[in-house]
Order: sequence, then C-alpha cells, then structure tokens
Amino acid sequence: MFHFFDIHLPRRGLRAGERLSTPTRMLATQLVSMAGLVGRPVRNQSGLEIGRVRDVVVRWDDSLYPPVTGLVVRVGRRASFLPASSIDSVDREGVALHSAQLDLRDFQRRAGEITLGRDVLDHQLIDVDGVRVVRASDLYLARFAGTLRLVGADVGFSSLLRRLGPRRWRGAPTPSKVIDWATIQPIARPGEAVRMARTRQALHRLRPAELAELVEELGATQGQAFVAALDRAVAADVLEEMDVEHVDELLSEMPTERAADLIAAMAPDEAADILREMDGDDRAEMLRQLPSIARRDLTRLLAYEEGTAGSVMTTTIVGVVVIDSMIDLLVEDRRLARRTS
Amino acid sequence: MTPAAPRRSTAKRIAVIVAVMGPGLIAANAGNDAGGIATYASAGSQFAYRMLFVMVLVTIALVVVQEMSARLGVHTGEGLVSLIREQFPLRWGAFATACLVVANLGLVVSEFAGIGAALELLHVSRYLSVPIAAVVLWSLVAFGSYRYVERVFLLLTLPFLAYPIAAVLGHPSWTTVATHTLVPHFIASRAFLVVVVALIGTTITPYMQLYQAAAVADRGTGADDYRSARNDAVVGSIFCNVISMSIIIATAAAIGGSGPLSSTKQAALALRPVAGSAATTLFALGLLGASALAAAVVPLSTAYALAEAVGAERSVSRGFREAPLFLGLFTGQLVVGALIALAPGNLIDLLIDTQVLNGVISPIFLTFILVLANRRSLLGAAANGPRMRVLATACVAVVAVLAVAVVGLTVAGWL
Repeated sequence: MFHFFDIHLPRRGLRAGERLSTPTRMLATQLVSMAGLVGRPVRNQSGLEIGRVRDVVVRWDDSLYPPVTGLVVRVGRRASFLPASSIDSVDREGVALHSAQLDLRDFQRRAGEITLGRDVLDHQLIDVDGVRVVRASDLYLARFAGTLRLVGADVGFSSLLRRLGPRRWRGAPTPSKVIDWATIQPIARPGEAVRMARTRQALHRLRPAELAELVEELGATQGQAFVAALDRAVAADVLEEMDVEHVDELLSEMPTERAADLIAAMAPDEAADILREMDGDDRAEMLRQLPSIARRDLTRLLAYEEGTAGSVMTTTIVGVVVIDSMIDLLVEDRRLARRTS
Repeated sequence: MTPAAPRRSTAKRIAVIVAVMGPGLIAANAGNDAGGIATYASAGSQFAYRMLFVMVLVTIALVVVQEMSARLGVHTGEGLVSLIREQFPLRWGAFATACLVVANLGLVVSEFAGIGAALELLHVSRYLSVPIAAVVLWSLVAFGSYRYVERVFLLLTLPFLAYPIAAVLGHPSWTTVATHTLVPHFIASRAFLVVVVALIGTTITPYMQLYQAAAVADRGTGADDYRSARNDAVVGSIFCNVISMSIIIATAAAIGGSGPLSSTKQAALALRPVAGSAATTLFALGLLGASALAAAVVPLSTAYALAEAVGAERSVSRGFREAPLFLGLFTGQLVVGALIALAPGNLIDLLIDTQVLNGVISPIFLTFILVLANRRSLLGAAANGPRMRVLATACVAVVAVLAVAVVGLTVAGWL
C-alpha cells in the first residue's frame, strides 16, 4: 500500500536539532495548506480575480486520499460552487482557472461530500497509528495521481500559532507533526452519519484493547458513533475491554435492538457484568430483546449474586480432546480468560 | 457471604446519591470558594442587606447560564472550549480561551490568597503557607493521590454550611431582609457598582460554565437525560445562592454597615452566633478547605479543557515528556497564582479584586456560550427558543453593561 507521508515526511515530527531532509523540504513546497488557502483569490485565465476561496469540498469515499471535487468560492456575497474540473492550478497564492468563462452554481452539499473547513479542520480525528485522539490544526492538499487530494492532517501546535499569526504566515506549511491521511479515522458529530459511514482499513489493525482506549477517550456521544460504525464482532470485543460503567453509558444511548445484539455477541460473563450494572427496568427490557439462547444463559448467570463465585463464571464451553495434556488444558483456559477479561 | 459485598453496595448507594446531587451542585458550589466568601462577606459588611436584591437577579442569570452550559454539554458531548474551537474562527476561539485562562488564573490567585488568609488566622505566615501549599497540591495531583485528599478538603468546607444557621441565630431584621430582597433598589456609587460586579464575577464565573458542561458531557448523559441534567443545574444554582445570601445576611447582622471588610478576622465574626469563641478557627478551617479544593481543581480543569481543544495529550499520569502542554499549563497556573498571592498587600482586597476581574471577563465568555446555545446547526431542536433567546440575551447584556461601567469608571479614576 502506498503511503504518501511514509516516504517523504517523518510522521512523528522532528526532534530538536533534526533538520528537514531535502525531499521533505521539496515536498513541503508542494503541499497546499488548507488553512492558508482560505481567503485567497480565485483568478480566471486572464488573471482577473473573480472571488475568494471559502472552503474545499472533497468526496468521502473508499479512497485513501479523498479527491477534491471543488471549491466553495465567495463571489460578492454569494457562496458558489466551483467544480474541480475548471481549476487549472492551486498553489499558495491562490487558485487559477482554465478559462475566462465560468459556470457558478449556488453551493449545496451533496451526499457523499464534505467541506474540509467546516467539518474536518479543528475537529477531532483518530490517529490510528498513534492510537490517540487528535485535532486537525491544518489539512494538507497535494496533487497526486492526477488529482488534487487531501493527503495529511497537521496536529502540531506550531500550525495553530501560524494560523493565529499574520496572513502571510498562514500559507506556508509547517509540516512538523503531520499524520498521513491513510492512517486517520475521522469521527462523526451527532446527527452527521456521513463521516463514519465506514471505518478505515487502518483501524482494523488495532487490537480490541486499543480500540476500547480510543472509545473511552472519545467520550460517550462520539464513542457511541464510533462503536456503531464497527463490525458487530469487533464492537463486542471492544466492549469487553472497556469499563463496565462506560459500556452501560454507551449502550444506553443506542437503540435497544442494537445494544441487545452487541450484548448477545459478547462473552457471557462480560455480558452478565454489564447487565448487572443496569437499572432493573433497562435490564428486563434488554433481556427481552435478546435471542432466546443468550437470554437463558444470561438469566442463569445473573441469578448468582455479585461477589459470589457464580457471578464470575462463564457459560462458554471449552472443548478438550482426550490426548490433550493438563498443561494444554491450562494454557487454553488462560487464553480464554485473557480473551474474555 | 464476605463482608465485602454489603460494603460495596453501600459505596454504590453513596455514589448514586452523589450522582443525583450532580455536577450542577458542585459547579455552583465552586462559587462559594475563598473569593466568594470574601465578596459576600464584604457585601454584607459594607451595604448590609442592600445587596440581596442584586443576588436575586444574579441567581436568575446563573440559572439561565448554567442551564445553557448543561444543554450544550448534554447534546454535543463536548467541553465548551472544544466547541468554541470547532464552531468559531480560530482567532475568536483563541481570544475566548485567553479570556478564560486569565479569569481562571485570577481564581487560582484568589484560592492561594484564601489559603494564606486562613492560615494567618491560625497564626502561620502566608510567606510560609502559600509556597508549601503550592508544592503540596502540585505533588498530590502529579503523583495521583489527590482523589483521596479531596475528601478531606471537602469535609473541611462543612463549616460554611453553618452560615444559614448563623443567619438565623444572628437575629437579623427580617422585615429589612424581606424588603431588600424583593424591592428593587440601587445606589448610584462606584463602590456599589464594583461590589455588584464582584458578586457577578464570583457567582457566574466562567469556570463554572466550563465545569458544568464538561461534567455533563463526560458522563455521557445523552439527550434523553437532559431533563435531569437541567433540573440538577437549576437546583444546584439556586441552592448555592441561598447559601451565598445567608453569608450576606449573617455578616450584615454581625457587622453590617461597618464599611468594607478589612480582615478575615472580621468576616469570621459572622459565625459567632453558632460557634462562639471558636468562630475564628471554624472559619479558618472552612476557608482552608474551600481554597485548597479549588486551588487544585481550577488549574487542573483549565489545563484539561485547553489540551482537549488543542488536541494534545491530557493526563496527569503521562509526565512532562508526553503531555508538556497539559502539565505545563497546570504547573504554570499554580506557580503564577501562588507568586501573585505572595505579593505584599491586603489579602481581602486581592480576593475581591480577582472576583471583579472575573466579573469583567465573564460577559465575554457568556457571549460565546449564548451564540453556541442559539445555534440551530449545532443543537437542532434543543437550541434556544425565542423566549429563552430574549431572556439569555438580556442577562448577558446586563452583565456586559455593568462590566463596561466598572472598567470605564476605573480607567476614569486613573486619569
């Protein structure tokens, strides 16, 4: 898999005294800073300014580096959409167009598209490689594979300071802490399902415990959107790794069917712990929604009072072949316990 | 079974009670810290019962503002500083954040001044107590044992619950209390205006909105539980202002009309009807507990909110290498706060001045909250309706006019 920044840029930022290498410096001049682009002029072929850049629209699909589909341009008082096809070049000074003729429509966001300035810049993102929640202080665009694409997010403090400073600083990228876009998972805001429509491939490399850490860091509202976007089996594994109280909070914000579905997919002893944490009414409702086998198992486990030996037992059956040694049996038991606790 | 089982369920029951008491109560109670006590006591001693009507207005404004903060926290699941970063242009966000940091730094100064004043009552020089307190608080938080000590501080604040009793036992003139609470009246003097702004600053502190939103968001209350979060915010605000008003009444009954408060010893007199000769010690312990509690929590939550908005690592367990911004901000606030509290001068004046500073900054931060709570693109149907919009705008506007007036008069005084 080709990674844009793997090759050229140090991903974790430079240590003190370390210099940017030549290819990195060259690349840095080709990067277009999203924060710097906003407010720059859009000129037609004859160099006449027709408006100013207000936002950048990208297509939100399966590609690792989302392609720019157009710009939102402020012409007079109107916000117009400028399709990418009419753009000749984009650089730090502004945008140049192919022709003098221009067909400007009023901007309206289409399905499958998002605006970088409004929806991504300054919002929370997940750095999958670093397993942490970050915030984009700048976004970098570059022409690559024939199209202008979103290639990286800058999470450095220096980029924030650059944006606070005078306008002429703003365009110059300071790629000190850049994360390759291919290893970033954006996060949904409440009511905006579009941004978590799928989870990025990079996310699947993480272990359930790491994902659980991210969910807890995200807090209830966004954590819930995050869990909702995971596969059922993965989501159940993640819940098993989390604090019982956090799981209770998360599940209480989901539709009951979805929550019951996740509980049914979890290891029975973990599921029982979560049910114990719930209010009586919630627990009864949850049990009612479960498939009959899971309901029977969990009802039996719940009959043991908290603090008794029965309450830490599981109904999972461990299959043992006669020739297995005692050691093998213990190893298998440990493995199972590790998986479920 | 084991004795562990019932003990755990008791702990759980207490946890439920604390949860019901809720962040609203804790947030509003932050108003009754060192600066709060000094301001309320000073208001009572200087203007006797005349500030009570102002307190009624301040309570209404506090309820409105805390409700908006709770609503933002519940529906977005994010802290206020993060919301401001996402919803406003970066420069506006930076401005709001800078205001918040200055206001909270003022609070930290007042907490250390409170620690110094409390221990001076117990005959310990503040040049000794303040630096030691700063080092001890920093270590407690940095080495993770703060949680356990927090309860001790919390217990120490209990003497302040004696104020309502003191207010009754002090035999205030109840007819005067009633008329001054219900009938609007203002005094056209600079001193009155400054005390009003100090009351606003100590009651509607930016820190409290920050805490309210963050606490609700962290618990993931969810849109369905908004009703209970709202009730909690409203009840908490009202309860705490009843305590504040009882501080004013108790102080007014004891030393009302004797001019501005000049020493903490004088303020402690208000507790005499309850505690007799132990009043000073009781007051000192309460002041110490309230100040120490806030002196750790205020810089901690400021650093947390900022690190969250920047997207930096935020945890006390990470160390300076991994979380330089978070720990740097926390440490910086403690150091600067303690140093300013050591500057020579009257501690009571310092306490009240920091509350005036908060009162001047408060309308700026409130404006940001108001805009966010009005925004339909953020809150959808939970955004402010037309009536709430008018009420909230009126509250913020009045606070802003008073703040501008105080700044104007102060600047005019220099010229």
